[in-house]
Parts: sequence; structure tokens; C-alpha cells
Amino acid sequence: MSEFLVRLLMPVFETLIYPGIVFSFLVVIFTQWYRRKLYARMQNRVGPWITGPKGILQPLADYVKLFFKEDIIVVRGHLKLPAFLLAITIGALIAVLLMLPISPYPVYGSFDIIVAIYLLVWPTLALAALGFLTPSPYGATGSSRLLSLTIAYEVVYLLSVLVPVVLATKYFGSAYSLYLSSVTAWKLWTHPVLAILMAIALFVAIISLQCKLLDKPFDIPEAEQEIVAGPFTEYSGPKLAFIIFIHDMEQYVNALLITYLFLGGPAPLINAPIWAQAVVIAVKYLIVVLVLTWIKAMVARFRIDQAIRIFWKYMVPLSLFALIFATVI
Amino acid sequence: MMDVLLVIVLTSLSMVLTALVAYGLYLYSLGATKTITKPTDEKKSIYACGEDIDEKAATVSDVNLYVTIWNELFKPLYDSLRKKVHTGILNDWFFWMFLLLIIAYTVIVLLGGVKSV
Repeated sequence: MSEFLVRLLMPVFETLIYPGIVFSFLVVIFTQWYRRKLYARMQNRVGPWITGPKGILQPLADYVKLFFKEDIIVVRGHLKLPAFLLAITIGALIAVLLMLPISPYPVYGSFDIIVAIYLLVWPTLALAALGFLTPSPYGATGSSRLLSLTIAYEVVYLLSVLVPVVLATKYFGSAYSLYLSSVTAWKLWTHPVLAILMAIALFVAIISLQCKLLDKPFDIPEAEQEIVAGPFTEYSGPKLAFIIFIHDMEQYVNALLITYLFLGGPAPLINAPIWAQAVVIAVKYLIVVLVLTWIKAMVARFRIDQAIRIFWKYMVPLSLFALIFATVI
Repeated sequence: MMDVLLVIVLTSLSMVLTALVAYGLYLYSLGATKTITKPTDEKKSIYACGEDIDEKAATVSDVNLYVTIWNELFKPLYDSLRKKVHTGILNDWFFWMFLLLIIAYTVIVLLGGVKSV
């Protein structure tokens, strides 16, 4: 009975505390500070430095400030749906964490990669819907651009995520499960041909993740010089805080997914104590965030046709090649 | 390993629980700031960088969402065919329709034909 209760209550604990809401919030604050600091240093600026030691509490201060500002709802704007959509989207991202090895009692089953893919697409669709829920021309234009980009990068990202899953299922019997594939994927790097496929999929996943996060050079839907803030133009106060939180959560969840699925999680310290494994995972995660920030600081914004052309001309063939090769090899 | 249906149930529960917490926080924020949830007079204008835009005209119909992609990006893929068909000469149109009919007929025959009742 007690074991049954534990199994029942564990997802609740995981959702609320670790690796759920509380832990994610702490990681999001740290990651945002780390990214802002890196971005500032790359632009020869100081970055956040006043609030907390080395400015580490600046993201928290920003969230608190936004959270207690007035929630302005524009005329003809939808009253309740945006907040509801944002809340559900945070839920979808937290649910992905329960399927990764970071969770103490991971939720996994055969073919659960489909569930993970479904949950990962939520933020894109929710953020696109936000633009259409207000009558702003900038919102509609931004959402239209976001949906146009979606058909390019979302396909590519999901194809590249499937490569290690297919390979791990083929060689280590992980049954298309996100958790089992994450646990065994590090062994794929030991085989030369499989390592090439993994490297291609990793490259494509990083580029498409940059687009998924709407960071430069793919920040076309929220290009502030052209369309103010795109889908988020009419949102303020707590809703804007949620939007920024979702962006940071998306970055955290997807970077963690890449850390586990492509970079092998705690490998090569698989049998080391838990703290050593945690350090390895943290270092790999920070390296992924560093690469994303580096791309953001280095490249200027593309036009929408350039971005879509890059994905359909180069990324789709690359990811399809990797996936088809992974299937037939 | 769990059944995939149980995975769906547990992840959905997690989603709903987080959504409840987030929405609760949102409601708390509304209460704390005593926000007016209905638009007042000063909020009855959309942000349009000083331009005068009608709210009804500001929304984009969903028909136009993907039109740029088909009209601009994928144009090279179908443009040559479009130019050949749309010459304005009726004979050309008949030729292409006849060709289409032959292709359709061939496909139907290859698939086993239509069974007579």
C-alpha cells in the first residue's frame, strides 16, 4: 500500500518540486543570468551586475517586477484564453522533464517519444496563437511569420531528435523511449559510422533549436525594428512574465534534452557518485547554452525567406539523410 | 517499463497540475495589482506606432497565413508548369487536361481498375 502511495504521489512531487516547478524556476533564473552575462561579455558590455552577487538575482527581480505590473488587456483582445494557454504550455514543458533521466522516477514506456514530441510542439503553437488573440497588426504579422518558420524548423528539429532514438532502439533495445534512449545514447559515439550520424543530428538540432527559441539569426517573428515584439506586442505584466518564462523554460528543457540524448548525459562518469554525474551534466548543459549564445551574438537576423531556404535546402536533407541512414544501417 | 497510455495519463496530470499552479499565480497577481480585467477608455486603442488602424482591419485572416510560402518560396517548384499551362491558348489547356486524364486513367488501371457493379 505504501509503495502504491509513493508511486502515486511521486509524479506530484516531481511536478511541484524536483525536477518540476521549483527546481526549473531556479535553473531558469541561473540560465538566464548566465546567458545574459555571456551575451554581454561577447558584446563588450558588463551585463547584469547590481542585483545580488554578480547580478545573479537580476532575472528574479525582472520576473517579480513584471509579475506585479498591471495586466493590460486591449480592446477586442481575448480576456482569459491567453493566460490559460500560457499556463498549459508551462505544464507541457514541465511534463517533458518527467520523461528525462533527471527525474528520480522517470515516466517512460515504449514509443513515448511521440508524447515527448507532442509536448515539445506546444510552446510554438501557443505562442503563435497569442498573436492572433489580440487585434494588433504586429501580433498577427509576428504569428504569421512564426507559423511560416514552424513548418521549416519544427520538422527538422524533430527529425534530428529521432536519430539517436532510432539508433538506440536498434542497437540497445530502447523501444523508442525517450528515457531509455537518453540512458544508452552515449554508447553510439563509440562506433565511427554512428558517431558521424550523431554529429550531423547534433549540428542540425542545435541550429533548429536556435530557431525554436526565436533567437538571432532566426528572431524574425519578434524582430523589434520591424514589428515591435511580434506576437507579444500587446501583452504586459504577468502574461509577459509567463512568455519570458516559457522562452527560458524551452531553452532549459531542449538544452537538457540535447545534453542527455546527444551528449550522453553523465558519460563518461556513468558509474561515478551522483554529485560527479550532476557536475558533468551541468557542464555539458552550460556548454550547449554557450554555443546557443555564441550563435546569437555572432550572426545578424535573416529574412524569412532566407531562413526557410536554409532549413529546406540544407537542414531537411541533412536530417533526412541522418534519419534514413540510421534506419537502414 | 510502463504502458504508453499510462505515460500519457501521468504527463497529462503533470501538465494540468502545473497549469493550475501557474493559473493560480496569475490570479494572485491580478488580485495583488487589483487589475481591471475589462478594457477601459484609455486602453481602447491598439499599439500601432502612432498609426490610425481600425481594430477590425488589424486582424489577419487565417487564409493568408501560408500564402507567402506558396507564392514566393515554392514558386520555382511549380512555376515552369504554371507557365506552360497558362498560355491563354485553348489548345494548350486541352492538351494538359488530356494528359492529366491519361495519367489518372493509367493510375486507376495500375491500381486494379474500377470494378463493374
